[in-house]
Amino acid sequence: MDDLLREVIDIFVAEVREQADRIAQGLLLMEQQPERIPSEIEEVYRQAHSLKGSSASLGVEELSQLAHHFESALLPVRRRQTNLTHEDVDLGLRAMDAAKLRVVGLQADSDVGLAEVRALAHMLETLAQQRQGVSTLVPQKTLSEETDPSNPLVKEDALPGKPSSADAPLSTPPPTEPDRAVVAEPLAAQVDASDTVRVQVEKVHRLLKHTDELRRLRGQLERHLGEVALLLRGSEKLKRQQQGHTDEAQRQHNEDLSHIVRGLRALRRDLLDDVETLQATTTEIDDGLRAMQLMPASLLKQPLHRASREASRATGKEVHLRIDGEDVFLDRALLEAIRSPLVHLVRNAVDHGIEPVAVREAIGKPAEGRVTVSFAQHGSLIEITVSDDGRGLDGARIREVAVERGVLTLAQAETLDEEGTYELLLRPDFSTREEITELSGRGVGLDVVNTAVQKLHGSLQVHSQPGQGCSFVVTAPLTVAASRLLLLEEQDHTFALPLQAVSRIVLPRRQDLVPLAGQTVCDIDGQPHTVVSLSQLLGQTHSSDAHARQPLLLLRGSSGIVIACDKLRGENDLVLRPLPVELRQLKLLSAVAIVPSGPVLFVLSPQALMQAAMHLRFLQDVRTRRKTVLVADDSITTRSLLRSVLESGGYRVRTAADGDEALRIARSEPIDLLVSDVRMPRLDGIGLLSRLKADSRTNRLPVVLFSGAKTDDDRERGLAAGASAYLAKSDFERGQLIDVVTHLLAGAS
Amino acid sequence: MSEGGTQDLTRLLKERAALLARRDTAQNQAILLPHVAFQSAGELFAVPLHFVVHASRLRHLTPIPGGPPYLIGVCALGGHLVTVLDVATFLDLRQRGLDDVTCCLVVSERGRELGLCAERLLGIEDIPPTACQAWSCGHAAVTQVATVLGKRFLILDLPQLLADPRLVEESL
Repeated sequence: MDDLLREVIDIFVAEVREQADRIAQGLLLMEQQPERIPSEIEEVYRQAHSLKGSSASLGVEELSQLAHHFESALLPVRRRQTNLTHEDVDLGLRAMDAAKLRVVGLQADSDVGLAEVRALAHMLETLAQQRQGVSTLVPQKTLSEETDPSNPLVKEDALPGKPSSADAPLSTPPPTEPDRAVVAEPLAAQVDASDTVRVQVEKVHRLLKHTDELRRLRGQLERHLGEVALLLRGSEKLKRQQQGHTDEAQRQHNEDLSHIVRGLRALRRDLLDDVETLQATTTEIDDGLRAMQLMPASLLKQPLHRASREASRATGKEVHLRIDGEDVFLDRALLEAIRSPLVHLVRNAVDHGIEPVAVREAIGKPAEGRVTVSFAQHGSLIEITVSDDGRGLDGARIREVAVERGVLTLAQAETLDEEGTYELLLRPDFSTREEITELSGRGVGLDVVNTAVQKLHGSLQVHSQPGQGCSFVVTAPLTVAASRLLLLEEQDHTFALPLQAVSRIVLPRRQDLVPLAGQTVCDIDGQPHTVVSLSQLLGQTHSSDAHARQPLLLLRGSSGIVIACDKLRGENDLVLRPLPVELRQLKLLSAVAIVPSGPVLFVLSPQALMQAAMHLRFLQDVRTRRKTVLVADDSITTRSLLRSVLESGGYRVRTAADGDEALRIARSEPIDLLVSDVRMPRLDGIGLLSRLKADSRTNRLPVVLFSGAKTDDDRERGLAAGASAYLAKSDFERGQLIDVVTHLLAGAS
Repeated sequence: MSEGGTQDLTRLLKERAALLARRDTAQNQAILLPHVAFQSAGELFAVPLHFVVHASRLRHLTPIPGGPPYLIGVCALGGHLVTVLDVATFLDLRQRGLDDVTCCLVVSERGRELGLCAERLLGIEDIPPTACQAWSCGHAAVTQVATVLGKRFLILDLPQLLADPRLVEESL
């Protein structure tokens, strides 16, 4: 790397990114609002010209050429000789992406992005050459417009006597000697500007780390202050006791003690002053540093518009993207981290939410779909909503597919509300299945969005109105660094949970807690919730006993589970730090927070806690649940009879009226044994057996054929098909059936 | 060459050898490598001084729920947030129970920081290379011991220690 470039590489990189972003933003704006082309193209041109100049001055020829050809290609548009096309915008956006990629390569002193930049420069050059023919046919703009020296947008090389680089024959490469008079300005402006200074984020972070230490010191000083106060109280007490004594030695002691007391009082005063000063200074520094990291949400405009534009062009849909609340400021790290999930949500809204034009028109909606991204600040939280006026989500179909895929049992699906249904889309085992999400109206990867949001200690909620549209609401702390935390104690250790992850805290009454099948269940608003203790989740105990008035935490998105802890320790705004590398595999921990006067706290991951709790509950269910026998028979009498016999034997019974239904239940629910009739409509017992044996989920299920036919042939045919036992209905004996079932289940386990 | 000439040459070579040997010793003594020495589980460890960024009393150690036994907790020391490693347990050198851990060294290599707990900090030991000899405990993080004034120090190879798969996130 050239020495000059090395010296200013960070500034150059930031400048190029900014220029590329502004150009891209301008292109998108011109495409959406062609009436703004005359004003906007000047800004685009000015940025491109600066890019060309600064690149040339630092010897980065490839970027200089790229900017030059970009200018040349857009010159006819600038001169109103041709219209701006979608293809122009595409090419321009790609060129700016390539420029941003290239500076990453330059920073790493590598060729990364070089080929892309050259290829794009060539394409722009070709476009410019094609357009040169146009420029000869259309009258040129007035000379005064092009050459007014007072116009800051006029380039030096456009002045009389100087050949214009943009007007020059397009085969002529841009000047290899840098045009320093023009190009030095942006860089110099960055370095010398008196009102702004570029600071690397890393440096700000380093300072923030030290403010943590200042806070800790303040805590220590406060503790010392407490110790001094104690000493002072002791000394004053001693002094009072000494006051009754009259002999000389005692008087001397008394004077000495008075001296100590005066000294301690002065020390306490000084310490108090120091603590207050330190507190005020730390807060000032802290607030200042955090303010330096806040950036407007408007910086997300360009990527969101691009996502919407690309998706609508790819799908042929007409979409208008509106952004509200772009003047809300949020932490830079949050802005960067949230960008990708939001782009994904916008793309999904266009891809899968908004209906095709023909469909919209047919159902009376405006042809142009509407996607809105809105930013709103609520206290220390930011709420970002991505909504569309498309088809919405099909809850029934989502549940159906969830059952088919084994994500839910039929019973669970039947009781799941709409909110719970939509949350299925956020599960990795659900939403990554393209065919399912296509059916439900959403694209793949919502679990990825959800995970990204969780990492920000935020939450993602889905709302939908079928036929009217749907919205995804991201709620996250305004700053990534500091977060409002709920402090809780478990087995003498304090942990923290992001406050917005807790939807409710319940202090149960004794009668709300019911022991059930080895677990404790708490009734909350008439709904049973399994209690799982935090120490169980942390692997410190196996007990889930809960007692009256013990805090139970209901987490957002939890389905029928509450987490019990020993005590609540209140709320606190604490600075979060990433987990040290050595601990990142511990999924229950998401970050650490430093308490000013105390130890480091682990911040628990609500998502991981919920997953661990659900796993625990599942294990508990498996350990304690009664065996389930599925009875398949088309006769309701036989089904009722068998149910009665089996339930009296201690078994849980599910029933099916034919082979088809039995097959569906066996595939989607935990069934331990099947008792099946042979002759049934739709799918008979033998057909059912062969389907079960062919499916890896059910091929080990013991099957008792319970048939009206009792010939040896029938029996052999049944056993040959894979039945574990064959009982004839005519020989039915209550005890025999229980014996056979018990025997087979003992063998199976 | 005459016999006298041969003797002269032999003497000359011996003198040169003695001179070179003296110079080597002087050079070796000049290249004393400063290490921070500490005691853990009765063993004496030494870590090159340039890796050490902070040393202090260990306070407010937070145990790690679900963490392995060699990671005894996390703490914030002098602005450094570190996981604290019990190096003796980590290297299977602990012959007896955990004594009172009183202090912690914060070491850093390529921006990655780690705390090493100690029962006692012994100060700076200048260890000449000649005092070091190969040693094997079956772990790449300790391949040398140094004997200085009758005391044996296990020399910690910090890059090797930090590269141990048990201390990187994928393998914990």
